Amino acid sequence: MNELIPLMVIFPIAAALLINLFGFKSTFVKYISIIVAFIIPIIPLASNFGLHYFGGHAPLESSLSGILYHTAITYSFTAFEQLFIFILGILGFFVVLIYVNSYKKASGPYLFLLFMGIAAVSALILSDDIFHMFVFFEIAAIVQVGIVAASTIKDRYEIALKYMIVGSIGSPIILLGIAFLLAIFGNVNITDIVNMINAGFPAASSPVFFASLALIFFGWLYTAGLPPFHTAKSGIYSGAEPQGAALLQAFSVITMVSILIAMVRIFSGLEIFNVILVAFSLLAMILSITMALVQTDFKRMIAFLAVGELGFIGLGMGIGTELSMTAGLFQAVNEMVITALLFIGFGAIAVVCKTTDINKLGGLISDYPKTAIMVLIGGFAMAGVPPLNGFQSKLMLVQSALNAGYPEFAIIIVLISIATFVVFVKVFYLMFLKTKPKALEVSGEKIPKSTIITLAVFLIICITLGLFPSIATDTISGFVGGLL
Amino acid sequence: MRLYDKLINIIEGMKGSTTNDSISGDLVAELTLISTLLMLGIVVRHVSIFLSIVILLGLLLILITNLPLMPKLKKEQEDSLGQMLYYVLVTLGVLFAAVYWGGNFV
Repeated sequence: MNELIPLMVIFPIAAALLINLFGFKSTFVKYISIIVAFIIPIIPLASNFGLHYFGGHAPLESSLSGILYHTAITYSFTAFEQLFIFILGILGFFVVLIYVNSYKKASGPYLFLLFMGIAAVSALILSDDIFHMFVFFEIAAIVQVGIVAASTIKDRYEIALKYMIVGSIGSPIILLGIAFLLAIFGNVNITDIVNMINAGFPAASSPVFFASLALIFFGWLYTAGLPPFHTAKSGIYSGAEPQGAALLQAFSVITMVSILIAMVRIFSGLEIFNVILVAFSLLAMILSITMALVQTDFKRMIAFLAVGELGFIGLGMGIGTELSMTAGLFQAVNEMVITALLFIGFGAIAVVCKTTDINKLGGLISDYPKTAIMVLIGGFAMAGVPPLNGFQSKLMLVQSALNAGYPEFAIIIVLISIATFVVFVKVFYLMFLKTKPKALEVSGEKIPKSTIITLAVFLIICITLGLFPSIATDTISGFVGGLL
Repeated sequence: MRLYDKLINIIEGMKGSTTNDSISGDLVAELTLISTLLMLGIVVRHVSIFLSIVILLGLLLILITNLPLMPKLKKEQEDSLGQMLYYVLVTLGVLFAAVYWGGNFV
């Protein structure tokens, strides 16, 4: 059923509009949201793999060069896209579940933003048209600002405004890069551009092509939150509600992966591309982990770690071998689940303790033992402790760096993983094991069951992918084989 | 001034680092930063061993004369919009120049 391919985008958009329209009817909005969130992960499972041409315009063959030109916006759906959209759908379902359980009155506009975000990033990973990607990249950026502005966190407006201002530089720059590509190739379809490059199109080595790489790469840094945007991006995560932050980081991961894959397809012939990709990824890893270590706000700590983990994805793609790229993309899948677990788990503690300062917390293991243990295991997964999923992807990255002849990268990966472990040991000790400060007043409020169930499900996914990584790596490896 | 006094002065100069936990976090961050920077210096050996040695020596000099690095690095990465925009624009300039003019030399 190839007809289901566009539905992965159209269905959440239609649902978002409907929910916004009936936003004043809280009960209706809650029920509809749960139903929609339940259906979203089912669509990619029910759909056949293949291509979808909007408007039914099939590609035309050039009588001169024999190259196929795509006249329609094209969506490409393979097992790789299925994996990412399914994981996103699962995250979306649990985020909506937590949201409708946490608030007596559901906000239509807030749920509208969540569903629009899901639709936007689904379109990004499906699309084979770089301008179409930009449109949804913009929607995703606005949604991220909206989700933060709609939270109840102090300083939310300031954080959202800062991200928007910084984005006002990143977005036009990426658009300018796309315009340069259009000027060179007269086309915005990625497959067409790649075919023209492979056919020896002369302008593919022109300075304008290099300029286009620089501009699109800069825009990609903004969307991924890699340096110099890491401070703004981590602010966005810490400024959102816990469940909102969990979904925001998933949006960032998918947007980053989608645009990165497009860049790999178009620019992998330029060696400078791999150099800058590795350089910025390493910078992200180093700056984020060192910043996480010196924070006293535990939400900000997780936010910095989330940004730093994206560096592992970039590093894997930048090394450029089949194993490293598979490891990088596997890390992306793991990152979505682990970071969501941590944002929701730590966020639940922040809600009941009404503080995010680790120096004001302590002794919470007696009040919240289930949450503490699940968050601890989630932290271990992020740090790369066996047999969890983070261990598998980081081990693959280390192996790939060694195989490619870069032992220095392998050492840096291990060093960053050790530092990540230190962050979690520190946070866990200060929040859960240290003597409870006298000034700390725990409201006695229980963590909602929906949150506990969500944490348990995410943990099961982490353990399953850790024990059986081939569930994801077989799919990713097949996709990377096609990419190379 | 003895080494111990120097160390005390450095620690007293670290604003906000007042507990054992925060000091340990700062120290781990400092060590991670130094070790990863040195590793990055070694990576340059893939381009030129001589250049790598020069960069490592330069790095060592900068690291020794600027310790502790973390307070300075933290200050540069505050949530100030001015600083964010400054680094965004500097990165755009450096990236564009490196790719546009340096792309053919890699």
